[in-house]
Amino acid sequence: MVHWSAEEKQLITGLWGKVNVEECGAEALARLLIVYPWTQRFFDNFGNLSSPTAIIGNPKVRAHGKKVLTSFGEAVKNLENLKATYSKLSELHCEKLHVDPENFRLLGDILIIVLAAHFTKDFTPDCQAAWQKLVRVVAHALARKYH
Amino acid sequence: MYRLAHCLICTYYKRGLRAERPSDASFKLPSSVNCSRSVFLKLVGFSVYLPRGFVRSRMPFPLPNFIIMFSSRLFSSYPQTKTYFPHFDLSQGSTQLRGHGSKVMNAIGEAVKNIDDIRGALAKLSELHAYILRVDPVNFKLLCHCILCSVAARYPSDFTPEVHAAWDKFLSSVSSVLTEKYR
Repeated sequence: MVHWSAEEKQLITGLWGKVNVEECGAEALARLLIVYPWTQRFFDNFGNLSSPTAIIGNPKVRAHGKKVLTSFGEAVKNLENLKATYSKLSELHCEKLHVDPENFRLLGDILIIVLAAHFTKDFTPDCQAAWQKLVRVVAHALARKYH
Repeated sequence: MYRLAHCLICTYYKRGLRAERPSDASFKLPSSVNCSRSVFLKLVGFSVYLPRGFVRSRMPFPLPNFIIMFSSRLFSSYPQTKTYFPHFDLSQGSTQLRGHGSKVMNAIGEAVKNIDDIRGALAKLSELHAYILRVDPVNFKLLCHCILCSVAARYPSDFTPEVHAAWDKFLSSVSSVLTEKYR
């Protein structure tokens, strides 16, 4: 089980309270698809992903980004029990979606960069460290049921 | 974007030097970046013919601050990276850290200046890492990520998805060159 210090919890929950889930989620997913274009392989049915402009304006990208980050909010609420929180999602990503767990790490790092850009100097090194730990643990939890 | 480009020029060149126009390119644009080469080079911070003296007068923010930023982020988020600096004073702003950070930024500057032959530009550094330093390759990704975070935090409006893609690809190329002689 992952141990979270009081400071780490505060850094995570404090920042999360200020996050615009729809905007940050959409931006994170769009950047994933732009910076790492091979990740588009999972979104064949999303329509036009032919350029950064198309990706950023794509309503399916925005909607799915919001969905992904909303799910991330569950992690913030359940820091002490991430394995159980993501158990079903882990099975889904393995058995139905067939997503390489490396992509969870990529998206986690992209999210960190989006947070850095949104919160600038408030996204201190300590804040980043807490969030890096969170995205790492979430990625691990999502990969846990893979077989 | 202009501020970002010139900030990077300031970090890459000695004061008073003119930036040089790059020779014909072989560095390929990321396919997601739909723009001309000159725009791309601006995106990675490479400008064309700065006035002499511009570098001296227009440093947007001190390079040491940037080094402190990405160093702090690296050692806080990835404490295992400190194992490569047992002989260093790693307190924020230490002289050793600034010195080493400057070397890192200068190397990145050389890579930008020779963007079409990063392998040639960093050949000696590549050998140093392969035969002497032997830093585990995974750490280059960690450092690059922290550099990107620092740039995003410092220039949020300039760090568009296209700039992000260009920087990520560029830093990834630098990392590949530095580790390609490992085995």
